[in-house]
Amino acid sequence: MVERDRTNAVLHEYYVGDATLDEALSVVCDAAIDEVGPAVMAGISMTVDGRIGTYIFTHPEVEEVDRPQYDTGDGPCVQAFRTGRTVVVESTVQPTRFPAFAATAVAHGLLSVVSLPMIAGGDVVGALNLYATTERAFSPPLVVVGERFASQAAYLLANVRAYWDSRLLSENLAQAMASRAAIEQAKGIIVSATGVTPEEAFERLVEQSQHENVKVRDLAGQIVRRAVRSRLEPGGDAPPGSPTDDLQ
Amino acid sequence: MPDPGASDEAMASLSAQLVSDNSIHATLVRVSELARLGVGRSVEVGVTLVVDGVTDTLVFTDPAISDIDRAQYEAGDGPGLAAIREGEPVLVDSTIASRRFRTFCRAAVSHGVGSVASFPLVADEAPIGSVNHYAPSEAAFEPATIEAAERFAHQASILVANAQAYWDARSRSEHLRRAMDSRATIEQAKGIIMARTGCDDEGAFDLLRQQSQAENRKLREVAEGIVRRAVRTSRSPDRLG
Repeated sequence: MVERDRTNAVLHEYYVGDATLDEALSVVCDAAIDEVGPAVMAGISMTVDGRIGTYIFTHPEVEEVDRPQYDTGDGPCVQAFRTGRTVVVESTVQPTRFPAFAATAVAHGLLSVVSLPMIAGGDVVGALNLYATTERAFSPPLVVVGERFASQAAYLLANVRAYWDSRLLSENLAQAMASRAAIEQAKGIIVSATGVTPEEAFERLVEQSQHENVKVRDLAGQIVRRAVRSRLEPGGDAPPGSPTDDLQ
Repeated sequence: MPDPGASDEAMASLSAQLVSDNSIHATLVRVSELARLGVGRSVEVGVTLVVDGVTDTLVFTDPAISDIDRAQYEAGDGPGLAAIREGEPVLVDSTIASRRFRTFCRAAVSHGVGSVASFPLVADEAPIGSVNHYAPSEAAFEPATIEAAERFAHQASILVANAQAYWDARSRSEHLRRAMDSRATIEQAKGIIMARTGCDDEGAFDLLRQQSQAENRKLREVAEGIVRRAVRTSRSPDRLG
């Protein structure tokens, strides 16, 4: 009953901003081991920046066992993630498929595996992978328990991820806004000197940044500083365009 | 007697909502529908939220609720407000006999509501609103119903708080994006002024603002004019080839 309450709290009583996605999913992995008895290790497969991998795990071995399948596409986690269906490996000692994955698992003493799809709003958002030290550890009733847990955890993953994506976007935009000011000012300086449109001015900025192997942001800063300085120098009524001569 | 199956189903549905799929309003509508599903169809439900210090009943399953709740906001007291203030469920067993919330109860009676139960929505130990149940008969809320509704409100609090957090972050991004667009032109105009006068960032902005005030035009419009003229006047065929 205590464990049931704990599982409920983990899956249903989370605030999206309280912990990062990694922290929230680590707690989910721990709770999955509590919930599905024979499991001793757990991991979550998901995509990060378009690449699928086991990004969350209770033990480093999980990541080691899982890793090869992401290159070969041959393994329970990848399959569960791609098909949205549960994959049970009853025995890694006598595997009927995924021989390479099974061999690595045996080497780490993990003799049976179940990969449970995490589906939220009709989309597969991840796979929850559970590992046991005995063969045939995951009976059909246990798999059903695991599937229910995984589908609830899927909503947590989707909601926490949506929140952090939004939050990071707004933080990145705020940062971009600061460096953007210098870039827009540099565009104005180039417009003033050459009469090109702001769009053309930006192209020149990018070309020069590639040519000199300097970041656009840094180059823009240099142009702005030079424009201000050239006018401040004694008798500094420099001819128009001089601050950006190197752009022409 | 509440149907335990319906109540469990309502709870499970609350946990299976994607905050990004629906607006805050749509999420509240879903909460009101599920609350009603959980306690039985004869009960009508309103969801009240405190937004920027203003308490209002934002969604309801029956328009009469809007009228009844207006009475409690005008009087400054009623079960929904009390639940938010106290952080505890507030029960009005009989709107006819109750000595509490007289203005609210008169409005409730006039709309045929016999009893009311309000449950606070609490996030991070702070009240964010309430889920309010309105039943036609007196003494409609049994202990088992109240307990189920309390559990539901607890779960709904988390969903509403998560939806609010998500949409806050989203609207911050959209606001920044819009600000960035109008900022670009202003920064370009500043650059042109800097190139011409040699003044720095702040000096260029001061000149821009002075012109905006002198001409009584928006900063952005003045900036657009400066950029447009600079493109036209400096453009010379031999330079651009």
